[in-house]
Amino acid sequence: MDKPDNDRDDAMAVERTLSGEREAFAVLVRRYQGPVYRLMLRFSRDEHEACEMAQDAFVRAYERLASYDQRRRFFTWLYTLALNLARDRARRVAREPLYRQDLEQTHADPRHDPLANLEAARILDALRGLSPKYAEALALRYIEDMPLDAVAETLGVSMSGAKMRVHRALNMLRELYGKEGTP
Amino acid sequence: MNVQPRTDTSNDDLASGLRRLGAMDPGEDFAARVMGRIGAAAPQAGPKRRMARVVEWLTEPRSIRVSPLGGIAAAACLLLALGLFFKNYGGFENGATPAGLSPVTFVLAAPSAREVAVIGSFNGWKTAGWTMRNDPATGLWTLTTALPPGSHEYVFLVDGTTPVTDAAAALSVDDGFGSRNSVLLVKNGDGAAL
Repeated sequence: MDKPDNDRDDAMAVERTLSGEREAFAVLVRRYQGPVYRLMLRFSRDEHEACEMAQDAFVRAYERLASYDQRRRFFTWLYTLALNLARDRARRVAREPLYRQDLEQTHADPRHDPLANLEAARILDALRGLSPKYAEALALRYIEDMPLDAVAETLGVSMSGAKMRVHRALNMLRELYGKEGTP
Repeated sequence: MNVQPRTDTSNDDLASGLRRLGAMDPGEDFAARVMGRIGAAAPQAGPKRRMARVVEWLTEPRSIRVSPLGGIAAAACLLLALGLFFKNYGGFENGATPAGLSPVTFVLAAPSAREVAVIGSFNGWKTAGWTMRNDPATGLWTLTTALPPGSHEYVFLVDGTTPVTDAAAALSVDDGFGSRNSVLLVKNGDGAAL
């Protein structure tokens, strides 16, 4: 993701969408649906809610596409928009406790074994316990597998700032994960 | 079953676990559902497109009928308005936007505020010279300035103590201190902001 070729493709897809070729936007949706959906998973209770929120983000992005500054990376703009949307929603909706059963169902995937699903659910649960500032740094670095410079650009911080956030977040996550898993 | 205590989980294990979360996906029909919601609507016009429409309106030929007396009255009103504007508002020193900069107007609705200033990355987060003007009739505080193209972070400082983000700004970023800064993207030429 976020390679120069992708940036050029994104710019072209935006141009074509703005010139009336609506289907060009579907290319952008397919390319970034994963990161946006996974971002929403961290702010929602289940995959259905995350899916709705991710759709909202893309619809909002489409509506505001004309205001996107094409000198920036499209993903950075989209991610910021989605993050703001998720935060606004989090402020509005009081978070209810997550039930383990929901998490296990949410991430049950027939392609993986049940233990792996359980581990994934627990890590996601621990990730939700971090403040967004740290959770997003970890998510971009590891879940989205972005290099540190891209993490820094997306979060609007310096390289060293991004590195520090990832390092601290990993330690915080380890602590939360340990507490969560301790009988 | 892994019997190792979880407190011993290494950062490498956690990183691997996080990477596995990258496989979660909203499903193959996600894009179709988004496109279904978008329907046949076109993206909303952005600032540049609105500006283009204004230019089009201004350059479109049209016939106007004005009586001599009405014309004189309109001209007098225009001169009076311009005179008042430059007397009260000041604008830029030579009446034009400095080269390479774009005009930007900050607006905040804060009827009960005693003083509001704009602080941001463009003024070193200092209030001196960046106090906004209040219109008591509307409760709006405004400040017009000129900024270079690029991304500028800012907040409104109300009564010298309370930072307030711009509700009209489409973007905001973490300020690193638990709050957020609004982000203004100034484009070349028209000062359009995202």
